[in-house]
Amino acid sequence: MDRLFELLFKYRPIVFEQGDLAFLASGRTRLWVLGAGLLGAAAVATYTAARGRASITERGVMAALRLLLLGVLVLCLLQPSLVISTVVPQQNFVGVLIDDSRSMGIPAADGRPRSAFVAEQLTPDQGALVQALAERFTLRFFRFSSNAGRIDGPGELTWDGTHTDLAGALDVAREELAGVPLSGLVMLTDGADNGSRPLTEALVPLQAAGVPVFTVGLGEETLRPDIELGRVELPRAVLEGSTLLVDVVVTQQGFGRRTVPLVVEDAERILAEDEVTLGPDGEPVVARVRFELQRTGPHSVRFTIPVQEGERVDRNNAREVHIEVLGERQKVLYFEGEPRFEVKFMRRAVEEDENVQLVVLQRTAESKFLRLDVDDADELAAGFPRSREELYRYRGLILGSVEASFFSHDQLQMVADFVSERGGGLLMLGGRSSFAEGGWSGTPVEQVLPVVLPDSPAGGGDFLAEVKVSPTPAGLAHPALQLVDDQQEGVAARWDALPAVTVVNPLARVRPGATSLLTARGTQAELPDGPQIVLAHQRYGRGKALALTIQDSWLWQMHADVPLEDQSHETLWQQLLRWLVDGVPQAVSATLEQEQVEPGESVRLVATVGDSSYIDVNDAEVVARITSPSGMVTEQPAEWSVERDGQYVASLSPSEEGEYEIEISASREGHVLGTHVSHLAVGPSDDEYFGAGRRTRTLERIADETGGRFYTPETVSSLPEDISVTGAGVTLQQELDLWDMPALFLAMLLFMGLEWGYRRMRGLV
Amino acid sequence: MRSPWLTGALVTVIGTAGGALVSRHASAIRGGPSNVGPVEAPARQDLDDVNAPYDGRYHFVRVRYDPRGRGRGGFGRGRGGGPPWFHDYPRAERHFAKILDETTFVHPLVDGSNILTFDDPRIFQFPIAYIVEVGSWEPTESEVEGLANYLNKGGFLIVDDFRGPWDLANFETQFNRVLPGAVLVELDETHEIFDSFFRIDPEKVVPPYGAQYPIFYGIFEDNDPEKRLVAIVNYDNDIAEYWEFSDYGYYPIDLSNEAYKLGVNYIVYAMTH
Repeated sequence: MDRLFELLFKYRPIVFEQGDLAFLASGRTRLWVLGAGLLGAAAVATYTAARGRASITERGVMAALRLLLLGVLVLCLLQPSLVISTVVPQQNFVGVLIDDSRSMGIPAADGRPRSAFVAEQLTPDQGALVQALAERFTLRFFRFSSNAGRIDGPGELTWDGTHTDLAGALDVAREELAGVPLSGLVMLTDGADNGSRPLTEALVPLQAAGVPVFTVGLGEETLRPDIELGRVELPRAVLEGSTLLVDVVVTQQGFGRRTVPLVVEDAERILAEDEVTLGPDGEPVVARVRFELQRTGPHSVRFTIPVQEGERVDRNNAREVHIEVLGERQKVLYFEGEPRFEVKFMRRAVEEDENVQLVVLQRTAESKFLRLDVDDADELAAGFPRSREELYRYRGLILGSVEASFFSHDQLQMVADFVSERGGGLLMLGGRSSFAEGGWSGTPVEQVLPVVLPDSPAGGGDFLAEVKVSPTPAGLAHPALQLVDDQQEGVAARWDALPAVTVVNPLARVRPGATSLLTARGTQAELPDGPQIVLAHQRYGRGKALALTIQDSWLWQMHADVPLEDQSHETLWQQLLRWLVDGVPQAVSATLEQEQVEPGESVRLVATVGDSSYIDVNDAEVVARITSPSGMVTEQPAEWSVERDGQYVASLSPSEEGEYEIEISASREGHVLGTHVSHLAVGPSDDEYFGAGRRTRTLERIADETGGRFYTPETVSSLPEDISVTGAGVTLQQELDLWDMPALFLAMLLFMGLEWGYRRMRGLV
Repeated sequence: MRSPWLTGALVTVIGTAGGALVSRHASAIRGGPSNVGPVEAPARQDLDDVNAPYDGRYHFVRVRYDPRGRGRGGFGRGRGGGPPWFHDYPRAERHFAKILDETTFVHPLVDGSNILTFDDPRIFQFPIAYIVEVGSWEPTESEVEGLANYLNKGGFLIVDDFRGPWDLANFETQFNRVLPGAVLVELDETHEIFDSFFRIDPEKVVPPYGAQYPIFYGIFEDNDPEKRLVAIVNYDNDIAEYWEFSDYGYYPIDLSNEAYKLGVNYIVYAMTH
């Protein structure tokens, strides 16, 4: 299309886009134009006045065609031109950025790798593209993958980079060429970015500097046939013995409707085996696998679908995910306002869970408390905690049937802050003094709860409904509600079989953003606003809040219909409490931006440091103690990031293959604030083979937002000239004649021909 | 924990309050001081007429059984008799429920109580059960199975109002049908059940029968005293006797108070342990 345009209009569309139209005719020429105008008027008069058998319409058509012909002639006489800025040859630089990552080695359908294009087009003195560029510009070459740097030429490329960081590459090239007249950057890549930084961060400075980026997309957008383990979502850390319910996203092309095996294993054993039935071509399916990790410490869990015959890429069928299994005991405080059987049966349900310590503060009468499973005589000696330091020792808080007026306003605010600031998990249980019936409406805690409380108790507080419980679709998929080790049908059936329980808090609405996991059914379950909510949750600040509105979950253990050997009640409470404390941060914690790197690759460590009240600390001494696989210990300080309170960063560059242990220690004025241990796996990575199709939209976005253009190998031949007219740097203004465009002469011929043809058709010749 | 003098004062009030409560509600309590006379024990098929349906609250549950006539059973004590399991019903439980409601935050059902058998599925909605006169207790096979399930699932049994080695032997024999190998372990004052609400010296819970020395036996899960207490046995004792007549003045207030305190502790303990 571009070629046809150029044939008709003499120049390519980009020239018209960049240039300004001007008419260069001198004053004398304008007289000629005036003469032509008079000639036109005379022609019209002649057509009108001449005698003959032509009708008025026929005379009008012919006069119009003649006027159009004269118009084109006049346009030519006005000497139309395009005024355009073009870069001065050999006075400007162009940076050529070449993707040096492993994905460039992926072969196309014809067997040629993506890197072959670079070898053909950019080899000095041979490649057509490099020669055309070199005629106009001084070239500077850069390679990029997980990092970027200057090279002398494509001969230095190894195609072995472990990641593709487009933003980093653009930053490096912009900074290196900051002092020279730069016409633009040419980026040759498949665009399969897997860097950690947002692209916008690199594009904004380029826009400010007026540097256009011309992207050349290599490879195919869709690899076919191929199966890819698209995504595996696992928490970074779980408690020992937790059942993990993991969603594995499988994408494929060319294997639609086929059933393939899925294997989950760690270094010691096969954890789970399942079969996945693939969807239609191009549509991802989510496979759910369940397994347990027993041993404490770091685990590398590998998810694999065996390579199928004919697959284009065989290294995207397995994913390795790293997870920390924690052996520590997590403390949950259960404050119950009245003696009732929930306490006994919840304690029984979790007593064998070595990773959850349920500390019970039971109010038995006015100002009278019973403490159970406390660590020492001082714990909760004064009743419910009165300071943040005391409350924040717990990771989870359960409020039973206790009225809001029991607490001081400071304590209510503290409970809300426990969730929003400390990041703890709050669970409110149903009961005669819970929710609106307990006067919780209008308190700071009300906002934290995932259910909407009425202003006052409905029915004067005498509500009592016997209900059966069913999981919602979200509940059916939630790990905490998997009562049996079965597929979803089995889980639903188990919930269906549980006996009825009672509710005294009518609640039918969840807050915006909250999720309902269990609802009630039965004749007494319907409320004016909908069915009774049984379990709902929401994120609130750094933590989460749950509402379990039934008052006697113990019936799921004790009821005559529940077999003695049934473990539903125990399983539910163990999983609920584990969920409650899951992901609750410590005062000092650290995360690595990548869980696996290759030797020599750097990784950013981000630590958050707070005091015992979880108030961010900016003046701490934070040190990372790094133990390599061979046992070598080094220490590296982490510095306050300035961007965020309490955030400290350090860059690590592990050199050995294996498991690194990184212990972060934070202290202030000699007082230790806390420590945190994390692990980093160092070894070969297959990241480059995932999502390895050409990302055309990403590359188009880079070009569009910087004023450049996007090319494919088929259209790249126009790139050098395009940079000449669109690029920055040292430029000069050129006037490009348009009067001799073939399109104008064709137009004149067309109008003459039409008039002749019209006369013939009407018999006027 | 309350100071001893405060506890003492409170308990005194309980005793008087209990008496006052019973007096005020005498017309609602069959066999009360203004209505002394025989009380009919409901037949097995008539239990629905006296029972209150489950509503999420604590209900006092008395266990009904068919006596085999081997125990002395306490018949003919001048109050109308009735089957052994029925003794002190309903005044004892009604009085106790009111005291429980007054002194704690338990919020029990105060104007009713339940009578159930161990083979009635409804008993599983009430995890604390009370049984008396176990000298004549000989549960059927279905009751044995029901009680075993009840206890293993988390139920708690209070055994009261029996005396003498023969009754104790019968109870042990029958209970071993429920939990084979179960051993009765004598509890001393250090056990948590004597400190779950009131601090109680068990030696001061003097039996109403006379000069017997109070002994409290416990039966533990897997016979392990470190594990859950599944049943408590008031050997040679009858705390319900004190409850029943706390408004009569038959017994000294101090003794009635100790009986009430013990009952309150049992309930709070069983709800939390």
